[in-house]
Amino acid sequence: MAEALHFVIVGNGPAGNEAAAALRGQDPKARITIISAAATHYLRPEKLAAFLVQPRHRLKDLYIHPYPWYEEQRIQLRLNQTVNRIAPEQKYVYLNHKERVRYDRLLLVTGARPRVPERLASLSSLLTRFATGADALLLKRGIARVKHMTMLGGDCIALELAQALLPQGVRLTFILDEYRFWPLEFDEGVKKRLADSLEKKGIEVVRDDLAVSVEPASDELLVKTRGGKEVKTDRACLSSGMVPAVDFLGSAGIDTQLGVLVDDHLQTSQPDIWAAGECAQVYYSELKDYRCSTGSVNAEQQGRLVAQNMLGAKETVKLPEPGRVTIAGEHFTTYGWKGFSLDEKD
Amino acid sequence: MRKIDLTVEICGSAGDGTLAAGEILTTTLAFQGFHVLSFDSYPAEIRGFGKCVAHVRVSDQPVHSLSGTVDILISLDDSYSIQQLPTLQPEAVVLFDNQPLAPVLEEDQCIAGHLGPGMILYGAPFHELSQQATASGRSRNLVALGAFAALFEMNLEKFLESLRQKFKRKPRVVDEVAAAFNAGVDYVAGNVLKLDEFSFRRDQESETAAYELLTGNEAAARGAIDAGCKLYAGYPITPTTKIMEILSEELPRHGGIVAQVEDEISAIGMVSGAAAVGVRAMTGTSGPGLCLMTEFIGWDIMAEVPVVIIDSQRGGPATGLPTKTEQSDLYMALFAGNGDAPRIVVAPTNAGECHYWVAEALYLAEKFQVPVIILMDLFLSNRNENVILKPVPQEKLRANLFPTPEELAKGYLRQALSERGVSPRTLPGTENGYWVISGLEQDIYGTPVYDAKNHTNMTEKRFTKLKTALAEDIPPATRFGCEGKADLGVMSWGSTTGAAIEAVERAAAEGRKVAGLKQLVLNPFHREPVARFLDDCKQVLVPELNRGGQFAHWMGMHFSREFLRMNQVTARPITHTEIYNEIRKVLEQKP
Repeated sequence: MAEALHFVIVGNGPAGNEAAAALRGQDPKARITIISAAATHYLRPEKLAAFLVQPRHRLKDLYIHPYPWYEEQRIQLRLNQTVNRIAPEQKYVYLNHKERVRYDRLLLVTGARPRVPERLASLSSLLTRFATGADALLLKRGIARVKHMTMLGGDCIALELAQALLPQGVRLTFILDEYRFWPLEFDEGVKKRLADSLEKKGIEVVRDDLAVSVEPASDELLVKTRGGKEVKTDRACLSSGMVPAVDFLGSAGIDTQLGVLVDDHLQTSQPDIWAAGECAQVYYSELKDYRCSTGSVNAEQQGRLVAQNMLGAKETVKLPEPGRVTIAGEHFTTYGWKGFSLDEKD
Repeated sequence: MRKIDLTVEICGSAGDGTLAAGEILTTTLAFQGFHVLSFDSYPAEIRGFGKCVAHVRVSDQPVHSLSGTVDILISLDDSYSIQQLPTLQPEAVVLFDNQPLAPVLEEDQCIAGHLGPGMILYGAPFHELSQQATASGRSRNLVALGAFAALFEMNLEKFLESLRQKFKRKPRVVDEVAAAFNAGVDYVAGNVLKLDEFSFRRDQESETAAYELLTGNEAAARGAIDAGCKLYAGYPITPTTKIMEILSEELPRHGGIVAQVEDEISAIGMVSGAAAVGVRAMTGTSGPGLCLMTEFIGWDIMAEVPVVIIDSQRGGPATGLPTKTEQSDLYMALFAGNGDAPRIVVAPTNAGECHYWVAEALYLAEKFQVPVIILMDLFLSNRNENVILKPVPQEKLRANLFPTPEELAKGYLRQALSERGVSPRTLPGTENGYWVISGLEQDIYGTPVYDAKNHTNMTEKRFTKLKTALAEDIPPATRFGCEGKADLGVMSWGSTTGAAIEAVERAAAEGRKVAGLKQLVLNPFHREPVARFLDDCKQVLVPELNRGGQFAHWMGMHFSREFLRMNQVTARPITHTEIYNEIRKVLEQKP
């Protein structure tokens, strides 16, 4: 009798969890392990902003699967554990705590992390992030002391955060840079209209400028822009979009560019290793080019598809369905993001 | 209502400082105002290998037993800690060394891959931080404690104060200890995001300042000193060696001595000799030692010599499980020896009772000229708990139990018969009070005789004095849980009683008609309260750490009643959760 395959999934987001569920559905004997640097369970990112400002909300209320689900599905969940190296020839992943785990099939679904613009890289420790459950938890613990927050960039995550914080009386400054409203690709006219609408809501908007430094100033931070503007703030939040989290791949011999390069079956350049979701840069035969995708809908779809392929199928990934976004009363079509609105509390 | 009731385990290999860390944590938590009960399990070998586990139950309310489950596990050795995982709560927290000395670990060597999906894993580089802070990896247990203290919001100043107290006799290491501890604190503050909701923060001072933190062994030793014991003779044996160690330091300061002799026969012999000439004396051992003492116990009963013997039970028979607990010496304590050999058998249920009943046993032994066996067990001997010690009965202990010169001048009958069954005893050399100490049956004058009538009378006398002890000194069993008629009664003895109390109280608080009976003195005992309890209860459950239910059998010899036995020989204490689950199971069974 053939020994059960060990599927190791690096990442605990929508792609990884959907893949794990699909693998279990089709291979009851498989050993499935999810390893994730994330400290918290797979949760609904769109609820994080609300969690931040609702004192009674607990992070576990956002979990998509309560933990017994993993027991029922016999999926080993390893949170707060970071993979720092992959050895494809030996089929091992190495973890930060010196453990190595052998795999038969490996799926990389490490998602994306906030982009840190080069000019701010050395100040990274001073900057607030709002991308994960852990980020939200950390921010929530100090939120009562936050009277003013500055968004460095002004991406859509910053818009979600603003939507939650404004009703709480938190004053906001948006320093809009080249990644404003990421990942939505608008023309300049739309971007201007959106910036105007932010000002109408009482948000200070700094246009055509860049944050170049952040430094501690007594209990606050002092953000300086290239244009010479200085903003005193309690928190400076990275909001220049997200980039695929693939730094750990290093010398693994897996081809990467922005993300992990995968073919239209989500297979990487190494045998028995696949990638999906926001960490993957997928080759779409329709485009005859690679594209990074964003959003949990894409990730979930890719997770389900890659599971088939890891089990031997040759399913081809399709371009994402367009999503519908409403911001400031305007409707936009976008790829990768689930339809959502930032107008609900207007 | 308990707001805090958590069990912390520290698990490592022998030599990791696991038990030392557990002791420090227990002391510190008690110092910070918590009620604690801690217990260690460790291998029989002296050092070098084998699993060590320190269990600490912490609460803001008094605790009487260990919990069956663990909320927080500190792993100093993952390969051993993995074995502890089945006892972890589904949402437990595990703190581990995320940079161990080994270059690479396989999956079965690392705890990180074995946790349940609801558990939270925190890592800190214990070894590395210890190296950085103290130039040695030996303080990794203290780094772990620092990480623990920071993660669970303990009072760090008080923790450091506890450490300074602990190491005050080693001033050279105090700074290193503090450095290692602070390294753990700082690491957590800078690197770990707290995800759990456990906290040992205290917003107000606790009333536990009046409590002392003592093990059963420490309490027993204190009881011996407080009662004026002048000789402790013994042969080292787990788990009672500690009593001898403490007394070897303390007794000389109180005018007494400790004699470490060549075996347990010598120990009981020396104690019997000393007691026979009027020295308040006792010995301590565990099951294998009590076996060797058996002949002398009979001699003490026949010669009416007042000795006290502590038997701290451990897994048997023979050498058995020297470092594991059991309650399987009851038959031996009650019956060991030839002939009809009545003796008093006491089973304290907590450290406070170990203290009080060692003193009381020394008194009872002298008053009734009889051996008193104190049945402790390894769990009771070694567990640490907060106690308020009850004063020992000094007046009774100082009372003159000997006949006066005037009484002796009227004539002395060493084995005189009386209603109380207690004959007048004199010390050797007492004018008009001479007699011969012997293991032979004697007549009232102290002369060896073998006739049937005398043996009948003297045998009766030896039993009568236990009835007198019962009437004059021995307390009745005490009831807890629901009042009046009960669907289920739980009878317990020794260290299992704490678990029984918590289980019964929990069941009673849920509205179940469950009562408990705690029997401290196992022989002789007041029949009526037990009979009333048995009448009140539809069924009676007896949890014990032995194979066949020795106490249930003992009760069965006195009462015509079926007992539901709950027996474990699992080498660890019964927990309140296990008894509670058994209570529910019994009550939910259809008749």
